[in-house]
Amino acid sequence: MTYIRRLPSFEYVSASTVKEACAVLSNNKGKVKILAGGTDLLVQMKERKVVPEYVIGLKQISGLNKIEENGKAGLRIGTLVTHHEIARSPQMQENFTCLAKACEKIGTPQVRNLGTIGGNLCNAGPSADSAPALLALGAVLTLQTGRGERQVPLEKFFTGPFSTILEEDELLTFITIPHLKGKSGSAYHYLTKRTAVDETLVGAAAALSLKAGDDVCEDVKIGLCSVAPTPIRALKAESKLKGKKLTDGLIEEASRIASGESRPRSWAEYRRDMVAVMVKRAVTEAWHRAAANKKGSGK
Amino acid sequence: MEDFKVIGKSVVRLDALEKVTGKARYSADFRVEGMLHASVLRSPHASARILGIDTSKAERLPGVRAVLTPDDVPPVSISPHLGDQYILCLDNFVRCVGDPVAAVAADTVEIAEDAVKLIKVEYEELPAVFDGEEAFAKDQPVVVHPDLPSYKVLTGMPIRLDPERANVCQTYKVRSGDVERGFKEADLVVENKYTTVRMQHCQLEPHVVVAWFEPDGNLTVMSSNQMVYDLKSVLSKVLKLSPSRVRVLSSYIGGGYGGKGGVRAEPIAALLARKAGKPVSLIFTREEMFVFGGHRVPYSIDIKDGVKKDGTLTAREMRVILAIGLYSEKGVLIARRAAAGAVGTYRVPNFKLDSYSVYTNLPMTGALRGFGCPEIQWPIEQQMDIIAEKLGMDPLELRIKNILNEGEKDASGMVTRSIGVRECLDKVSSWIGWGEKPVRPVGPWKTGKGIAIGNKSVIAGSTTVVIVKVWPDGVIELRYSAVELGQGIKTTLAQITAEQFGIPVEQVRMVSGDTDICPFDFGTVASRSLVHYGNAIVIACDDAKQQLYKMAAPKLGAWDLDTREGRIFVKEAPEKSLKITELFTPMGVPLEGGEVLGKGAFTGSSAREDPETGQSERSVFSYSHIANAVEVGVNTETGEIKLLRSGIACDVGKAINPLIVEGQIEGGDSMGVGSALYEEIVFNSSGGVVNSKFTDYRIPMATDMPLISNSKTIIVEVAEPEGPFGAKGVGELSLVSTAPAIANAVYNAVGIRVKDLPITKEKVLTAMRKSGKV
Ligand SMILES: Cc1cc2nc3c(=O)[nH]c(=O)nc-3n(C[C@H](O)[C@H](O)[C@H](O)COP(=O)(O)OP(=O)(O)OC[C@H]3O[C@@H](n4cnc5c(N)ncnc54)[C@H](O)[C@@H]3O)c2cc1C
Repeated sequence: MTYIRRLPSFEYVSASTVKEACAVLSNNKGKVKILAGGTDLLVQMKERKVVPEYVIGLKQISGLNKIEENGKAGLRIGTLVTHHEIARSPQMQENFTCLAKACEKIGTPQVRNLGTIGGNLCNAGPSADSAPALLALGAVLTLQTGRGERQVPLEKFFTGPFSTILEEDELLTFITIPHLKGKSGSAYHYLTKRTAVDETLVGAAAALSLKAGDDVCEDVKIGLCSVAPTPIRALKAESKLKGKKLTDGLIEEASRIASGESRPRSWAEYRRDMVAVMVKRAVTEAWHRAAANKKGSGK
Repeated sequence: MEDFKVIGKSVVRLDALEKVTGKARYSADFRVEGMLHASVLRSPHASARILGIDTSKAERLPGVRAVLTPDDVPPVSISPHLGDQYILCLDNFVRCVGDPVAAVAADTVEIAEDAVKLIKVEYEELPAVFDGEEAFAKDQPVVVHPDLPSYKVLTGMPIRLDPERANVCQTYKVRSGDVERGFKEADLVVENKYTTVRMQHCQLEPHVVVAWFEPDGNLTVMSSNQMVYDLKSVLSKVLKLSPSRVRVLSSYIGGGYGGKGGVRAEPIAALLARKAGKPVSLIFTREEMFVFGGHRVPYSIDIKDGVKKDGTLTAREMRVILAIGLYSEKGVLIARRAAAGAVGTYRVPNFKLDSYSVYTNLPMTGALRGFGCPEIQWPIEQQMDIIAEKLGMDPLELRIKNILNEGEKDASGMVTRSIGVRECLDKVSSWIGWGEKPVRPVGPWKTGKGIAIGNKSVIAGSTTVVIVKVWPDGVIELRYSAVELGQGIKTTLAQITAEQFGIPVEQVRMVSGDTDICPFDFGTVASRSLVHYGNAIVIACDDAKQQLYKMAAPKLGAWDLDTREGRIFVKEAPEKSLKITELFTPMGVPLEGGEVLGKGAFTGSSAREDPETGQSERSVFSYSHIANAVEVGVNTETGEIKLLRSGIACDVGKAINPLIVEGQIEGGDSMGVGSALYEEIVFNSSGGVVNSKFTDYRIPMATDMPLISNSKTIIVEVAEPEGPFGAKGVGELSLVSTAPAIANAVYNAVGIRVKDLPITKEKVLTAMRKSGKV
């Protein structure tokens, strides 16, 4: 039996710059854990799944808790931005609806106030709600070590349940999402396991843009969570839709393809069925949002 | 109608301010000088023989003060009815994952937990049986307690084994009329099988105990237990101490729901305290609560009903298997109590029930709000809807037609009285708009309505004693042993006491939580406290009043006296009066008798039951009744179920404090929703609990309940003649028929009947697909 216990003892280090954080990480490889909101980390520490000697806090590092325009690259979200801040941002709700909706879904108000977007990705749970939305939006991560930084598309980030490509001394600092082009829209649909506030059983995000003037899908990305060892893209379903005139029938077909792309383990049959339902809902809503979106979000 | 001053009023709860300001003290807030902390080693196997236990490493760990192994444990049962359970696993066999094997007391919890891991236990694994029906079978694969026939029967409650079924530790029968004849007379026979699952109470506060020995060798225990006198008696037995030398203290309890009615943590802490020579605190972890804090008994019920074309029930036959887990504890009693639920609502001229408590290699089950009754209404109330549909009758009408009348004998031979279920049904069905179309469905949603009714009884033949003390300033002190576990009993009892003396509630002093001061009580269980305490308080107050009147009579020159607002007056001439103070010397001593102490004892009536037929004139003390009417939305794409509207009416006899009663009803209803839709303890293939955390075992939150504007709580008052002021119990009643009402509404919405709890979205969707409904 595993007991939820008090926290094991550890030394807390507060980093005031990214550099400093990286130095602590590389000098104590394997013994340090990064603390963002702590809503995943502290639970894991209580369960003794991780027992770090040092816990390094990022709160004092300036700039990591902001959402900023980053020129042509798009919108840059600091790793420490909380789910609450994203869910409540009018700009997010308007232009990156799927992400705002995903962050609004996460946990309870207490969890949304503490939990960060970066923590959600770095924890790399298969059911991380922000991941499908960020996959659909084509997010790129900025990862930093003492040796420098690299830009990695989110699709390349997850390597398995609760594991990522992050090096032991590497830090996620920013998440950049390119602005959607033209008439575009996005949506996130999910089903929880049991109660209304509960872990996601199936989550599907879609972001798409339409060719000016008609219902032809210019570009689309679909992200899924909780249906495979890591959050995934439904690439085959996307190509079914890309370049085609959208109809309910076509979306239905694509949804079934997405269902085939999923690889759930438990509740497998029901989950696969629900992938089709959630993808259909997400793509349909994204389409309607795009169609209603006169100006587009591309500024 | 009598005109009451405080009874029937929603006075503010006496514990409200303390609790909202965080000042209320619970057992875990209790610290004793030198207190050690304990942790329990539990079996990783569902069935195994212990070949050896090596505690040497644990004992060497700095900070460890005592280690307890099965060798230290007296061979005395802590199960109340049947001698099948020791403090640590029985006779060196473990019988479920979680069965306690050893325990450590140390300077800190961390050290105790680390030490537990250092204990080496060598096991020889044995085969196990998990499924209740498999264990019940005559060719059961495993016998959980091979020595069962030689176990001691510990109480007056009869234990009847089944010579052909080695895992059955209790059988119970009800027979009335002749079911075969009843089925012959029937125009329609409906036969089905239903199952319920294990639930956990999920009290905010886990099991908590602090135990220590006083310098004179007496034992004191501070515990979050719902049955303080029962605990006292078990501890005195296992520690071989006179009951006079065991003192049980209690403070506020953070939720009980029956789960704290047994003995779990206390004897371990007491034995460790004796061994270490220091106070020992033991607080169950949440995982321990989920594994060994007790579960609701899973039932499997075969039910066969006979009914005439006009809807008259002619016969009902039920076979109920209760898979109680590894120890009998309350499981042997629930097999009997479930029968009361089955007979308390409908007129069934030919009735047969057989219930069996069956051992399995899974953790202990026991009382969980309702004591077997919600589980029994689950099949009955769905059968009523199935029958109604087959007969082309309105389910409401079918129910009304078969409800017992006042004065009629029920199937267990008790004369029906104070049955308010018809009124409950009328009120909720009219609130929900029965017969009118449900809310118009949108998109993939379909909507439907459902009703269900039920009952919960108060146990017969149990005793409560109180003492009332009159202070010189007219303050009345009540000494009682009921525990306040959030249900509001402290306030309600203060109201009844205040009423007797015609004083405001603030003038009553409530003294409880110490068996050295407060008299005997059977326990804060079985929805029994209000009726038993209410009656005992009236008796005790009368006793105290008589003592006062005896002193006052010579001064007032009259014998026919009454009291109100701290004065005693002549009934015929109220202007002739004196203050209670005047009956005391300036030192505060009464003019006669040294102290004014009134004693009141109340034992609910009971009557012996025939072992072959279960017939008894008084098998329960009283029945409370309930009706639910709900409206649900079911999503045809996902199977999701949304509770849109919910009305609930409870016949409680008399609401002493209506707001408290509403709280009990609404809280119970949400627990009912949990049982209907979400809650289930899940085991892996080796008998370990999979979902022992709140993230995995989901209970309903506000977001799962209908909006307040779409909910209705109705109090119905059909007086119980032997209840205080007509009151009956309410605490467990409120979730008795929630689940079948929801199941009936789901059927009404999408034509899917789920007979196995809980009604999950996956089950509903799968069934819809299978039947071609979507
Ligand atoms: C009650 C409850 C409900 C929840 N509900 C949901 C839900 O509905 N959906 C959902 O997706 N999640 C849910 N979660 C999980 C959790 O809240 C989220 O994953 C959250 O986003 C984690 O963020 P955090 O800031 O708290 O991460 P932390 O716990 O601080 O960190 C998580 C992990 O990431 C690492 N890490 C954090 N930041 C960085 C960084 N910048 N660089 C490298 N590594 C880093 C940490 O070392 C740790 O291993 C829930 C949690 C709880 C307790």
